[in-house]
Amino acid sequence: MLKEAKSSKIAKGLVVLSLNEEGRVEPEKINHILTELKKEPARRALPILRKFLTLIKRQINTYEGSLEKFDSNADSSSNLISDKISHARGKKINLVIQENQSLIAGFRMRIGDDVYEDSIASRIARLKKSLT
Amino acid sequence: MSSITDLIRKEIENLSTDATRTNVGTIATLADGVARVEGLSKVMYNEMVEFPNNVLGIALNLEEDSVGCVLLGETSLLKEGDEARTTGKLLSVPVGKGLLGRVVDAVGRPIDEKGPIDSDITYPVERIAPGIIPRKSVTQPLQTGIMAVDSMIPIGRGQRELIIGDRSTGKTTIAIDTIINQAKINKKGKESGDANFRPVYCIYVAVGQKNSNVARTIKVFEETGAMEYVTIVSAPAADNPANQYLAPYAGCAMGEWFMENGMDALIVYDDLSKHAVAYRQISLILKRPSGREAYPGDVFYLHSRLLERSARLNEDNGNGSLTALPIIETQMGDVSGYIPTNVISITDGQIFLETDLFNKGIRPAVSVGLSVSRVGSAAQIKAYKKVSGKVKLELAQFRELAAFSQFESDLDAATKARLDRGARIVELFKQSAFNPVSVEIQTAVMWAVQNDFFDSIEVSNIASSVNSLKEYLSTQGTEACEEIYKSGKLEKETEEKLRSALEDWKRTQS
Amino acid sequence: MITLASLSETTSGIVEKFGIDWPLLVAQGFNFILVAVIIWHFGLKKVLLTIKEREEKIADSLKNAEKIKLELESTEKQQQETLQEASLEAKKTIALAQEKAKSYIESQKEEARKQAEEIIEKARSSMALERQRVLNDAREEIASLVVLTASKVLQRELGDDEKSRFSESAAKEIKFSA
Repeated sequence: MLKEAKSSKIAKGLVVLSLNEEGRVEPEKINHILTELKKEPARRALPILRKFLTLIKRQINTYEGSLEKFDSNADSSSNLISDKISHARGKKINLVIQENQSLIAGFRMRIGDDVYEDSIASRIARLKKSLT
Repeated sequence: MSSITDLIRKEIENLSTDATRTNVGTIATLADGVARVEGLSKVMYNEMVEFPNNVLGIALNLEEDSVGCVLLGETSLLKEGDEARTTGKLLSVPVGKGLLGRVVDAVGRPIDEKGPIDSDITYPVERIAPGIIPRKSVTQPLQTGIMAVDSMIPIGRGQRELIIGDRSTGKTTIAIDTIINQAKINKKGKESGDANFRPVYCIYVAVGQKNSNVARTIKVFEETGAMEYVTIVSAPAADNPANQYLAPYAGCAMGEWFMENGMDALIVYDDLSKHAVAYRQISLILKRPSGREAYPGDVFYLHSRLLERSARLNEDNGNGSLTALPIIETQMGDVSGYIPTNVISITDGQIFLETDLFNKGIRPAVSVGLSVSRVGSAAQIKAYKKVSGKVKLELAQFRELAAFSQFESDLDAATKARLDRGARIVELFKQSAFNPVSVEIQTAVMWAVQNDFFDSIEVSNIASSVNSLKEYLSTQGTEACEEIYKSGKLEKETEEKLRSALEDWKRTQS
Repeated sequence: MITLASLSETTSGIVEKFGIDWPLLVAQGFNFILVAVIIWHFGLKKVLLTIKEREEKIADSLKNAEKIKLELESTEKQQQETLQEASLEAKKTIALAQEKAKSYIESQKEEARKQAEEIIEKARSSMALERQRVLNDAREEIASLVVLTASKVLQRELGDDEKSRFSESAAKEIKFSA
């Protein structure tokens, strides 16, 4: 457990080194870290790297998300949603627009572990749940 | 059919059109009834988590990188990569009188094929026990109907009395007899129409039992007419350990409803040893650090928070009570084991059952020396206290002198008298299973012993004589018993009536 | 002397007349005495003893008989009393037994009636349960149909404009928190 804590501490330190002033992950900095680690591999490189990967993914999820709509076109609704979530989170959130016909209409946005949904499919699913 | 369409129309009209926000995660590993979920960053401890195919889980391990959830349903329907979402709710079970006469599982779902539970109220399974101020001391008796217990180890409403012993020593039988006796008393009280009568509702929690045992218990309750006052919460051995872990808390929540609504309830946990084993399994799979005997460090808290929820509340809080009869199985009579010592220190006394006594034919095999009730005679009616006050001492003296009984011819008259009296009391306390005796008849029988009515009867005939006396008192000598039942006291006139009834009975014996 | 001689003449006259032979008489007398002694010693004494014993026995028996008679009388009296008591007890027991039998029959009737009621009640409640189950099943089926229909219709019938309008309004209404 102590070793895990140590690996975790090292990985967290590496994450801090990978971020820019806005708190976003910079690929160049990550490449630089990986190169340095290859030159002088740490004793428990694998757990540290695993933890590093998890933390980087988590960090990315704080400012990147996905927006599912019935079509893949960016329109005023998707821009409005992007602006609103950026305002709420206090930073610019990048939303990748994906097509999902099963929604019928509306949207489903996922950012990190939070899922916001207001679609016809979700309302129908809610109705089904309340009826059964 | 129109009711169905009305229902559907109503649901459609009431459908919420707001956006939903949920917190989700992905199953990373799934093994032995526990799912490790990555994500779920906003889940709270003990929150219900929803998995696909209507499987529910509880978040028990909140770690930095993942959440350990124990699964409550069919785990074979899940796979790695499935999405889990928070529900924002704690696990709750239905409570209320609609549960009486029903058999439910650990989350309150009916398993007796008698339709849905008639209940609108739910209580969370984990609740904080009543504090110090709302409580009151235990003064009302809870009659088990077992003479050996009611006379020497009396139990009161709101007490926690542990039933401890090796396997097959009659622990469950004592609990079942107590429940049957409550049903008998409830029926009698209902028929009497007494406005001050307080029935006792019972909950029997079967943890890790064989399904056949639970079925047999249900049959006994049905045959004795006790089922209408009992709720059975069943988490058999075939259930996953999460259900076995939750079942006692679910049962306790059902009992708390009665307690908080001014009623009296009795809950039997059968048994907490298997409950601790199920919790150990969950904790080991969740990779929590293990301690003595591989139990997790909080195994004491597991039982203390459960048993502390049984209490007697004062009048300002409804004057209700929840009496607990936890059962613990020992190995080879070792009461100094980890779990037994834990639970002994939590409860307000124990009834210790010995294998030796059981094998000798003394059933219930109550060890008078090791059994104690910390509430004591405060939980006995005055009449019974009067006649049974000396019994424990007499039995203790008998045990001390029993070694000398082989030299019977060399003993002085006083010692011989003590030996005779002790041997008769031991025979008197033998009772068949599922046959509880009402307190007024117990009082009458004890009075008969104290007034030497059994001294002329051979020890080997005592058991049959007692049965004959009990029958006589139930059919012909009812006047004195009725007075004891109504007043709870043993006045001079009652004693005279009792004496005359006993003399009449004695004549039929010779 | 004359008297003596006349006495002796008379005596010899008598002896001659009656044939008394003095030596024979003496011998016979001796024999008689001997036999008498023998008979007394070996026979009569014992017989008399036996007779005495028997007389004593008879006297005792008579005494016992008296005693027995008294005892018999008292026993008979006791017997009568016991019989009377027993008969009273028997009457009481019979009356009690009759009462018990009556109340037993009544309770059995009551029991049978209750059981019949219970059976009817069970049948009623199981019918109600069955009905409820059927209704629940029907409700679920209808609900599934409703949902499926709505989903299919909406998917097919909603135009792109309407879908966009819905998305716009959803985007406007939604509120995000940190």
